[in-house]
Parts: sequence; structure tokens; C-alpha cells
Amino acid sequence: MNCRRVERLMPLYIEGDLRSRLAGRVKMHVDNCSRCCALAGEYEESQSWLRSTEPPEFDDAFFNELKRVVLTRVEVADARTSVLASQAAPWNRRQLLALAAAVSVMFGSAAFYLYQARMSGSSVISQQGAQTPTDESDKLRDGSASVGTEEALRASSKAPRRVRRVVGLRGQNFHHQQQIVGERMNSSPHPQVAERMNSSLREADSPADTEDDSRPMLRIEFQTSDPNIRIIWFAPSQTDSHQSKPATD
Amino acid sequence: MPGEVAEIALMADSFGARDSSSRPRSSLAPVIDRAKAGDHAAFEQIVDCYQRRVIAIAWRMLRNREDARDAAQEIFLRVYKYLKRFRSDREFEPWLYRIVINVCHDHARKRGAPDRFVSFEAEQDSGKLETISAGDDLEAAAIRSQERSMVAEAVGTLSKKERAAIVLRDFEGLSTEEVARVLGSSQTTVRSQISSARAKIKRYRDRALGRT
Repeated sequence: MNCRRVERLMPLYIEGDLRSRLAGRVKMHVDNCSRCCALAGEYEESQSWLRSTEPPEFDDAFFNELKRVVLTRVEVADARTSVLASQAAPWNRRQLLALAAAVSVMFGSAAFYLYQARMSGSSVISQQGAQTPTDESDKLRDGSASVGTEEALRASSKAPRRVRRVVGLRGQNFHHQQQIVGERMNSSPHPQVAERMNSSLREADSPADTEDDSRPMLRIEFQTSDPNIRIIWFAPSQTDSHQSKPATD
Repeated sequence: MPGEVAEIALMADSFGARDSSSRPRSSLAPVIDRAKAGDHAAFEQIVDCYQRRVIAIAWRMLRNREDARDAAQEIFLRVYKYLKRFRSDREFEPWLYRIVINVCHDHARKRGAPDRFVSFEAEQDSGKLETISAGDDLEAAAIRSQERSMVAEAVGTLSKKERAAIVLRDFEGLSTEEVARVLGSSQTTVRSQISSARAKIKRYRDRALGRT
């Protein structure tokens, strides 16, 4: 056994934390090595120094106060527990579990319902969403058929679905939506689809039974490469006074 | 040092374990049973019996009188709260030690700032210096307080786990096996922590004495 190993074992050797055989080997080395013997002496001194100091003396008043505080807090905790226990007393364990489960299910259902409602409101291009921001009183009714041709749809359904879902065409988002459509048309992986999308613009008269104003409207539908996403754009037709501008300007 | 840890691991395999399970059940067992049943007088007896030891460990862990007092209160509250879960066939003291160490760790974590150490002067100024008996000399008290400060600072250089291990092993006199059970670690780990802690304390003392 060399000095380096003894040095490593020394902190355990001096307090008898080594097994007897190993301790015997260390002792044999220490007895024959003055350096390691001195080291053992230093460790022993250090340990005695560590143990020599007692914690500060806490007087009886300190302990009485400690006990008083503890017992007071225990009583408070007991009182609180007993109030809770008295409220839960009419219920047995199974009933409490059933009640907790029922409450959890109710909360879960409500959360799910809210989540669904929110998702459907934002992902479907609703007719409400197509209201023109310039005149919100114009309520249009969806009366036209889809414009995308079957061929375009077939082609687009094979295309990878990289289209960002276009959300409702509401007020301030309209320009953004328009931009997205433009980008999509330019960057479509199928030029023929984009071309057909352009050519699929068609004019449609607004329904005759709108509520207050029966202005003819232009209905433009874009079929994106995603067959589930169609962009519908309403604008005053050319016969209207705002003929050259889309209703959303 | 990984080599050192490995060596200690080898030692641990053949370390003669002291069988603490054969130890007779504490004489406090009936009192503990009554306290478990909700007897406040029995719980008070437990507090009386252990408060000095609890305060001593808390002080060594936290190195501050006020913190030790707060921790001791919390320790006894936890004892009361979880006493119903304590299994009567187990020893009470390791269970109590575990609570003490956990509360002290929580307290140190909550405190956040580095360990506060209250010097002799601060203790004297705030009137918290231990009561000096008539025959006692102020100078001797000052020396004792300074020594205590040094030891507290030396212990303060240890990591949280090393401190817990050294307090239980060297101050409370628990065996390595008992320390390992209290801390929920292996004996090898505890030996490694103790070895490292003793070496650090020696280094601190050597520095303080100008040996290095």
C-alpha cells in the first residue's frame, strides 16, 4: 500500500470507518511511514476540533417558547382538520371519490366543448366570416356552387398539404388572407391548378333576398391546393358605384 | 475524484454492517403509540424528549439560532402531521432524523441567500450570547464562541449532502448504515460524502492555522 492510497483512505481510517482488514493494512503503513503518521495525527486533531464545539446553549425559556409555539400550531392544525372532517362526514370514501370523478368529468366535458367550439369557429371559412368589412350590414347568403373543377381537385389532393390553413375572412385579416392566396397561387406546385384557380373566378349575383340592400355582388372563390380550403371573396360587382374596388378596401 | 469514489465503493462491499434492526425498540414506543392516537400530552412528551437534539442538529445544519428555532418548530409540526403514517415496528429516531434533515434542507432552500453566520459580536450585540454563569469569564466565552464560529464556518464549506452526512455521523454518532438509511442513499455514497467532508474540514482548519 502506497502513501497516496493511504492518504485517500485516511479520512475514513481515523474514525474506524474502514473494514478491519483494510484498516490493518493502513495501520501497518502508518506505523512505518512518518509522513502518513503525521497526516493521521492531523486528521485526528481536526476531528477532535470538530467535535469539541457544542452548539450554543439554549436556555429553558427558549425551549418552553419552542414547545408553546409548536403545541399552539398543532391545535390550530387540529381545529382546521376537524372542520374539514365535519364537512366531509356525511360522505363516505366511495361517495367522495364518485363526487370528485363526476366533477372532473363535468369540467373535462366543458373544456372539450369550449375547445371544439373555438376550433370550429376559427378553422371553417364561415359565411359570417365573409362579411365585407366596409359594410357589415350587408349579409350575404351562400348560394353558389363550388368552382374548383374536379380535375383541379384531384390534382390538388395529390399535392402535399403544405397549405397554411386560411382562417376566417374577417375584417382586418382580409388583406392578409388575400396575400396568402396570392402567394399560394404563385407558389403552387401545380401551375395548372393555380391557373384554374384564376380562371375559376366567376361572377355571381348576390342573392335577391338580402336583408336591406340587394346590391349585386361579385363572388370570387379560390380553390387552394388543399381541397378542404376554399377562399371566398365578396366584392361589389361592376354595376355598383364602388365597382373597381373590392368591398374590403 | 472518481478513483477515490471507486475505491470507497470497493471498501463498502466488504464493510461489516452493524445490524441496527436488532436494536431493542425505543422505550418511548408506548408514548409514540399514544401520540399517534391523537394524545396531545404524549406528543408533548416527544417534544420534550427530542427538542434539544433536534435544535442541535438544526443549528449545525443551518448555523443560525433563529433559523434553527424556526426549523425545529416546523420539524415538530411535521412529526405531528405524519405521525399517523409512522410504522410502529420501525425505529422512531431515524424517521425523526429524516424529517430533521428534510426540513433543514427545505429551510435552507427557502432562505435562498448564502448561509448566514452570526458572529460572536453580533450575538453579543443582540443579547443572544449564551448565558454566562457568575464564575465564567467573558474572555473564555468569547474564545468558545469564536471556536464555534470557526467550526460552523468549516461545516459551511460542505455541500448540503456532505453536511447532513457529517452531522449525523460525526456529531450524532450514527453508524454509516444508519446515516445511509436516514438520507436514503447507499452506504458507499455516504462513505464518499463523509470522506470528502472530513478532508474539506481538515483543509479549512489547516488554512485557518496557516499550515498551508
